[in-house]
Amino acid sequence: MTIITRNNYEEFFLDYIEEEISAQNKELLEAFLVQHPDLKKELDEMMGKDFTCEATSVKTESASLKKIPFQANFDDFCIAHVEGDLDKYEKKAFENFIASQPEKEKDLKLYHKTKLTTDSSLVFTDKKGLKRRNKAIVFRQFVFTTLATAASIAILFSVWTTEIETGNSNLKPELVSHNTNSQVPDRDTTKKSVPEKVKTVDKKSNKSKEADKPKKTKIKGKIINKQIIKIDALPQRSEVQKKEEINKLEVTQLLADNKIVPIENSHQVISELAKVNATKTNVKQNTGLAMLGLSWKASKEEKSGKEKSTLLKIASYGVNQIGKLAGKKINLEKKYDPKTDKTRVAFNTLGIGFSTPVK
Amino acid sequence: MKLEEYNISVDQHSDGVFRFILKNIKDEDKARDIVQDSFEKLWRNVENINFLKVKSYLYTTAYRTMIDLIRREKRKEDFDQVDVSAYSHSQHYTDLKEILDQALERLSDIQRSVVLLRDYEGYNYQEIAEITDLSESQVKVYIYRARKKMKEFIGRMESII
Repeated sequence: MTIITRNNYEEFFLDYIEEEISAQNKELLEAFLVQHPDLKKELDEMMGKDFTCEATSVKTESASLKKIPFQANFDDFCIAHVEGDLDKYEKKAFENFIASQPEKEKDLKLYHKTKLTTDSSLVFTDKKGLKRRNKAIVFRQFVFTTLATAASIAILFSVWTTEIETGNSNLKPELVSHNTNSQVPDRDTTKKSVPEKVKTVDKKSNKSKEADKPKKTKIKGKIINKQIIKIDALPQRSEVQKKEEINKLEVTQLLADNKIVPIENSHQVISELAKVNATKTNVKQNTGLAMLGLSWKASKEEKSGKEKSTLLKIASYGVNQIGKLAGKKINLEKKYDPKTDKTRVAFNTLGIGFSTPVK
Repeated sequence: MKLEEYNISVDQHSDGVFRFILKNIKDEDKARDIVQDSFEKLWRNVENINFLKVKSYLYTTAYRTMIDLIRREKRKEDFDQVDVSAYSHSQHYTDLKEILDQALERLSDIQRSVVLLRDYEGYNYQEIAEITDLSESQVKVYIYRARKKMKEFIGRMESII
């Protein structure tokens, strides 16, 4: 028994190709090829040697073409031609067939017309709506928008509340003095000099000096009408016989002398005025913002280039978002007015606008 | 698949899926709904889908959603019942593209889908089979039958025009 090696395998190959190999050697050869796959490839090439010859190949192709039933399955071949399902030999043979059959060419062209082309004019326009954003960014924007909206509502509410409360808190000094009068004993009083207390009364409010003046006059007038005070310019009670006379003297003297007049029960009046002042202060601070625990910065001139407060930025953002939703232009601005030494928040839309001083 | 890849998929495939569905059902609003629904499903499974397979996933999802819709609405038309002469004087048939659109409408739903996937997206038989849940040979048969019907329709229209 001959052993197959890499030095003698060609002999076995030839016997195998010519089918002259014995059964025993065939088994040996197959086992050898398993161990040497590169040589199996060489054997395959040797077995296909005839097909590599161009003349033989053409001959084989011509033989196979004769078997293709173009005539019987013409439509299928046309579609296969359109779909690209024919191999190169079949395609070449079919095209030769079409060339020899001009009446069939029209059908083939019709089949090729069934091939659709992409309609690029059809596009999905809402791609932006399909896209997703980072959850952290979405959450941050959601929180910021929510805060901005809440701040805007708080500001609008506070502005509205301030307007209402300010209108209702126009407490008149007369009422205070009137209340005071009822507590004043109806007796003569001696002239007292209380300059410090008078000074306090005079400065009870920096904001409403003009309001203070009629208040003082009223206080004096009311009290005088009740005959409970003594003024330097007025004569002693013992010297005056009639009430009308006192009134005339008082008016004349008050017009001539605009000094602050101490009164006997001034401490009571001052305490009442202090209450009024306290009430006024509370009213102005009792806004929606204050109730929410928020407040504006104190009124002062903003330096150029200084950034807005965080609260105002949030509010402005919220107002802008509301404006976008409503399709309207809405402005929220905070400005310092040097004339009044106050900072004002202005809210303007197309249909409505107002401003209010803020603390 | 990452968020960025998902957004790239939107840019790359939303037009194609939209065209595919719109050509099938001829209803723009419903086509948009199906596209949105398909991308919504993609987003829900974004972590489990390979970016390389996303196109196939989208077309498969869109196709099945569309089939469900068609079945609900039972809108089918038999190609053989078309009276070609009714369209012979229409100005819509002077252009091959419009004739093709009409021919496409007269295919069965499945034939239209496989032809669109084949021509618009260039899918091979195996890929179409995966999308439409058919066998490869079934896809091939549907395409062959669709071509024959379309060729017949085009031939009749051209002879009239």
